[in-house]
Amino acid sequence: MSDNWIIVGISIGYLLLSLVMGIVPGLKVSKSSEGYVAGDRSMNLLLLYFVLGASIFSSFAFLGGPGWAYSRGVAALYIIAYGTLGMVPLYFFGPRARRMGVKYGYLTQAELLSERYQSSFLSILLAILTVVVLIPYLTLQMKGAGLVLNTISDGAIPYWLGAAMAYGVVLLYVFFSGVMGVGWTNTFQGVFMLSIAWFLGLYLPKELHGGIGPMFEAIQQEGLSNMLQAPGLQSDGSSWSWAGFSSAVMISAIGFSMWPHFFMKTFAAKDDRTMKLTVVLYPTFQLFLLPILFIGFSAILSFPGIGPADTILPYVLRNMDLPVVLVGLVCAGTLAASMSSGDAILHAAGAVFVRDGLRKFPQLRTAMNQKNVERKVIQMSILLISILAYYFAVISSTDIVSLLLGAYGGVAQLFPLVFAMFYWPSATRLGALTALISGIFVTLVFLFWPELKPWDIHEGIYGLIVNLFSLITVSLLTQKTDSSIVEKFTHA
Amino acid sequence: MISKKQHRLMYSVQQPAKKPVIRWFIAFLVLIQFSLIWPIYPLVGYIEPIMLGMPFSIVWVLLCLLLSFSGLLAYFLWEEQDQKEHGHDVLGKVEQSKILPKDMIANESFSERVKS
Repeated sequence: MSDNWIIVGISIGYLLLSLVMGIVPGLKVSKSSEGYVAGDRSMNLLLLYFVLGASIFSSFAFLGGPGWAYSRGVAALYIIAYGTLGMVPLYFFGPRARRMGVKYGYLTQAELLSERYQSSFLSILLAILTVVVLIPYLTLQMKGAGLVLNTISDGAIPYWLGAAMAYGVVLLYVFFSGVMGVGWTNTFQGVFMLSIAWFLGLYLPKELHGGIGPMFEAIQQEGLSNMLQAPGLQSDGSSWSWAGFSSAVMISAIGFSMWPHFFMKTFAAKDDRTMKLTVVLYPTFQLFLLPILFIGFSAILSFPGIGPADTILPYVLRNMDLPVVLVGLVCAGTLAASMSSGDAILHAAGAVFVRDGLRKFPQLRTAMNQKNVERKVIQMSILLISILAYYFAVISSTDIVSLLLGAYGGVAQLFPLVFAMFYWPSATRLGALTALISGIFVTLVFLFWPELKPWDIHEGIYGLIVNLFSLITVSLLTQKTDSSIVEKFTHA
Repeated sequence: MISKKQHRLMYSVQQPAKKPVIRWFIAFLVLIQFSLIWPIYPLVGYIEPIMLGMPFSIVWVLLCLLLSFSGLLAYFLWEEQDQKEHGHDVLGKVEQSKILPKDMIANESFSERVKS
């Protein structure tokens, strides 16, 4: 029993440290929306690197990553494969978006798109889609945090309290500090989980098999070679097809930089150089996934038959005779992974809801133009969104997480619009709207009725084909957008 | 307003070496992407040869990661060097900060926001 309290104590210590790290930096930025949403456009390389890195590595990285390696072998490399180039579009789009932000005061992706395509409808549509997708995403992070604290305390901390503790801290620093709170906590959480991941990824194979080499040898000798042969297995244990693997990597790489909570950080960058260097250095963060996968590989032979696969890390921790302080640190690391994504998601959902949704209604816009009113409305939305996500995480039994499944294919549908915004002057409002709506529609149809697919490739690819086709044909058939608007973008 | 043709002409006169470099860079990125999926990855995604104790299917992905990092870094450094020499970025756009002092840009954004 006392062991459990040491672990819980370490986790609580970590939570308190996060709170301090999150509140203090927010005191330094201005009280405007610009300060709250984009940190007065002042983020340096260190902050931006960790914000973008740690936001993507959510509780999925700590729980799902080992789970994939454990149950599907090298199929888990899919995560590294799409992240290798997933950030690169921001090398080209990022500086342009950033410069336009400085010049015209933009803070979100949809603000750019709705200006280029001259459509408030597009902006409101994107605001709704963003909130609809980010709430389940946030719910998932809360569930992860609740689960971890519940498991390690042997039930002493109930699930609802665990989720409330971790996300109470997140809510506090996001509410008060905005993006700067996200930035500094993510730096702290990022360093913390990187260290934990490397330590654990090297320690567990050593303890269980005597090293990385012997571990893979043993897996091979047990007749599980097909797990180590690319592209690994599907979740049902059969070999994954190359078409399935390749299209999944492709669609995730295309969609990666389009996530709203990701793209909008370009507006927080201090200068173009910072933005570009962040993209250049990003693969170093990807490398952090390797030890995470080793954790899963190490458990294949030592702890067979554990389900669901996502619980493999907590299971290993409980069932190995590990030093109690180490277990505490790992739990705190898992919380860090969950929170470093949750905070960025929560912050983006609130900002997008207000900037791209509410502001598009003229009466509300006038009210929000008064000093700092908009910031307060964003803060209220953040409060509301976290309550909603908590409701879905703890009270409601609605399976809203399945909404997320469609999101990966859906978010990629933004790519043609963003690309054309900067590089294709002939793209028009109608072209963009038809492209987005038809792309998402096709993706959803094939997601819910996979048996309709002509080939076994990711539904998002079908959506993207229809999307591109509509964008090009409809744009060429409709009247061109006023060149003074288009040139703001093509010459940004 | 400058016509599209004149623009292209200006770019080509200003910087004959630019376009090929960016083309090579994009070709390099595409090559990396296809090394990670079909059709290149299936050719090499086997267990043998084992390197550093890891199956080659894993080593290959790490190599691609390393290569893309080096490529990006090289391109970034080249671009930066080039900018120093010519005072404009790869698309021929003269950087704003080089014409306008920083506070002027900030003021502009402020007045824009008031208007909207």
